[in-house]
Amino acid sequence: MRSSFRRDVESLDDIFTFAAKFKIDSGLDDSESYFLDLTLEELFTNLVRHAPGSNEIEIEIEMDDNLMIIRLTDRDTEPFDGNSLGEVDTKAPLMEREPGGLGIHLVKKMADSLDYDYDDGTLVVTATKRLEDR
Amino acid sequence: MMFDISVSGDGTIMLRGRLDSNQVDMTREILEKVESTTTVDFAQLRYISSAGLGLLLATQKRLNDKGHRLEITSMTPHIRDIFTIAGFDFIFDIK
Repeated sequence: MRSSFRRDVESLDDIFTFAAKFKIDSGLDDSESYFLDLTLEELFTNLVRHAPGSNEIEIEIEMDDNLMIIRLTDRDTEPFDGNSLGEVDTKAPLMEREPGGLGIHLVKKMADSLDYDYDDGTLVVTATKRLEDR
Repeated sequence: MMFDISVSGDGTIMLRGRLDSNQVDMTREILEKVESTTTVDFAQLRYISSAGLGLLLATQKRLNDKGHRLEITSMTPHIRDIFTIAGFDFIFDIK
């Protein structure tokens, strides 16, 4: 399923409503549902904040056998690669911890893959996660 | 499920529902008023993203400067997983 959303953090409510239908259709459990919402929120808000543009951002979620594929497409924007952000040092003491990069860190650790592809003004961010047999 | 934050009579902060990027302003408003060691009850919290984690981190750092901290109670397993992946289990007192 696929839909486009206004480039604004306030679109999150609509995105979660969109994802809710996918969860029901695909029979996602609580853990898989949490992953889907978190991935959508972190990747979408990251594009809104870091990839300049004025167009809507398209979101597509699909299942390929047991592989959940989450794809965000941002047209007419600049190159951006969330994977190039520095690693979060999760063992650092409190006073050395900073919130920056935490969202992408969570997605990278929870997903099986996270790829940023940029070509001719279009940025495509794809996260995948293999689900339990169902 | 929407989000709600409240402070009980004994000063415990209670979070309920889903703390996403749209809910950080009202959460920041409450956390900025915390000046001493405070319990944050997660029993009814169902979702938190990096936006909420960032607020908790900023509060913990500010309190640490004064010798205080946030103590988090009744965390659900999914949120405990998020805390572990974020390395927040090292920097928060989780009960």
